[in-house]
Amino acid sequence: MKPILSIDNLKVRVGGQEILKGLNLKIMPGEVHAIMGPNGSGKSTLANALAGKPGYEVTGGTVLYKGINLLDLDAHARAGEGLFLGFQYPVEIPGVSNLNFLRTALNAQRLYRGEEEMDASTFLKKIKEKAKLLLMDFEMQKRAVNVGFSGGEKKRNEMLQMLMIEPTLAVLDETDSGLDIDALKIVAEGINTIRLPDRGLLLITHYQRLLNYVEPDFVHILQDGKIVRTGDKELAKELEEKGYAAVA
Amino acid sequence: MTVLETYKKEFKEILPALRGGQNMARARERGMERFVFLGGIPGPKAEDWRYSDLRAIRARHLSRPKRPLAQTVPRFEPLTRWPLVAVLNGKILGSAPALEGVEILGAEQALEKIPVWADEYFSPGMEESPLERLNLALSEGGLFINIAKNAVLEGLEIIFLEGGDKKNAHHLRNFIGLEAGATAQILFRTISLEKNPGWTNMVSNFSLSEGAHLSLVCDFEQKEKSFLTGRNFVKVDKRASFSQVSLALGLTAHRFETEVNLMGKGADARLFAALLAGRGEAVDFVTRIHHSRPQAKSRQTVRAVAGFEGKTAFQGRVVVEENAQKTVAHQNCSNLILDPSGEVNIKPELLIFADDVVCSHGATVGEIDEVALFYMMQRGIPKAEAKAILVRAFLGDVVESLENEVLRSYFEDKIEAWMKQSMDRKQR
Ligand SMILES: Nc1ncnc2c1ncn2[C@@H]1O[C@H](COP(=O)(O)OP(=O)(O)OP(=O)(O)O)[C@@H](O)[C@H]1O
Ligand SMILES: [Mg+2]
Repeated sequence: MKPILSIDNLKVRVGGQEILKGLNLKIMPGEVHAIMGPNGSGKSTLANALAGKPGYEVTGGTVLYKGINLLDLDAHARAGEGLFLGFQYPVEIPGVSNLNFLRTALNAQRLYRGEEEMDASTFLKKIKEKAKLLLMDFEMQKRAVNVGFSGGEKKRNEMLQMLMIEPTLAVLDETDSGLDIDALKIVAEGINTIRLPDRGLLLITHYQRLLNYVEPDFVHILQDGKIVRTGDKELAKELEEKGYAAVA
Repeated sequence: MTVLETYKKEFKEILPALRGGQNMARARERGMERFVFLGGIPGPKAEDWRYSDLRAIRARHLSRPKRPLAQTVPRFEPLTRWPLVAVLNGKILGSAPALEGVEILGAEQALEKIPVWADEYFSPGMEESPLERLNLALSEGGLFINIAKNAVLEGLEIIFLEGGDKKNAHHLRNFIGLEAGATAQILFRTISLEKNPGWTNMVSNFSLSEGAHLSLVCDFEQKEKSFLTGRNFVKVDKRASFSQVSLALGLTAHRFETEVNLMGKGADARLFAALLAGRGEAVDFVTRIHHSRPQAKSRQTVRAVAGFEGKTAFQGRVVVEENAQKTVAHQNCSNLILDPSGEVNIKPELLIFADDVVCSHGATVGEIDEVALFYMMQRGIPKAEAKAILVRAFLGDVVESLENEVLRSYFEDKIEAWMKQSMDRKQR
């Protein structure tokens, strides 16, 4: 079986500084991985580099995604290939409604894959269904993308987009931060619906709580641009109790 | 002989051949006199004209009258399902639609039939302009529309067709009057012949009587390398309201002036303008809003986009006269630069002589939001499309002011097509 993601000795520079210093990670189909690590250790840098954010300069190593060289692709092509990034800080786009944005995105991805467009009524039916699942008010989708959304609403909106897009590999950067206890449970249930045998999930988090609901197969500790320890979900528990200094 | 002397001489020669009766001929002579007095076609050193590059018009003597005009009709298609008036080189094509309470005539016919309107038709507006005066001197006619008291004109599409020989100038002059309580919605369009590097200079005087409402939409389109200048002068009386939405894109050396005189208590004017300029394109939008009576309101919303080598300008002047107390005047201009080679110019002027007023003006200049762009791309939208969406969103305040859905989606499509073209041009 081919891995969904295979990162080998990845080095990334941001703002003239080397942040990732030789990172290795392999995600097989059906697996859920969690990355934990202190502030500034490079977790978001990894997510952004995978998504192809401008300014993230890869200075070494390789990233194979479903066997293809991910680093050769434009950001939109990576998305078209099935890579989804749940943003730590979701972006506001004044003047563009959520509905328009998401439908345009969905159809752009379909066009990229040579699939047919999703018609308006199917789209509406689907998004209403997913919003219900996440206990979100559908009316909010008529407003501009993330504008005036609370922190938690923004995170839930990321999850709504993910459920609509149904990515092959979802990288969720601190999706749990900012969610209240009930919302966390709901979002976790949403995430579990895309936990399928042919998909992969990479959860970046600071808290073990999310991992109670979405149980990871592997937990990695990232420190100073490298994965310094890998374990199972017990590692997350250990971290929660003792902190990074003692564990890593 | 100087350029101006040549103008005068040539004007004398062609005057007998120009349309119109005695009244018109006298007005023409006055127009030419003032045009010459004001120094002819303004150069870049004239303060109010520095963003309007009229060099090509001067150099090619486009303003020189040439007769006769060829009557080639450019291809055109109506945009709305509204009644349609097509005007070719100043003359109504076919017959004007018969609408209750609405009189539509060719300008010359109107001047003979209803001479009391002559002053309105010849009016120089609030601030004398050489292009307006030249227009008067050389006017080929235009439209005369009167909307009767309390009449309602749901919609009227007017297409001004420029069908002429190369290097010709087209001076159109219109008058549109709304009697007390009348309501109208009008679409103005200009369409030129393909590959005709000519010049269209259109002056339209509007008069809104007490309690009248006019919603005007201006869609200016010229083929490559032709020039378009124009002025709308609008008088707004007591409790009357005027709204104008204009879209200017794909235009070479375009200058569009909108002069509004809020001459009645409680009059209201709202101007919305979208200006887009890419390679080889320049747009100069000039507004003059005069608050001459108390309790009038004005609001200007301008959105300008400068693409690769494009140049936009907004010169907005608000004058609040001494007795215009309780005036509310707002002006807002946001600018988006898509490429470092693009240029935007903003010149707001508030001249306030009353003390009890609420006036504001704001201007911003920005670039495409790179963070939003990446967010959109991460969701699968290719860069060019994502940019186009952001530009459309930026223009939203103008486009969404259009209540008519057909017009709104037409504007959106035009903007999108322009974005595509302007990106292609950059790549070339
Ligand atoms: N544009 C930039 N210029 C300079 N330094 C940067 C830039 N972007 C990120 N960094 C630095 O890179 C390091 C890693 O940042 P990153 O956002 O990946 O951390 P993180 O592990 O996601 O932290 P957190 O848990 O706080 O989200 C930090 O020290 C940060 O200051
Ligand atoms: Mg982070």
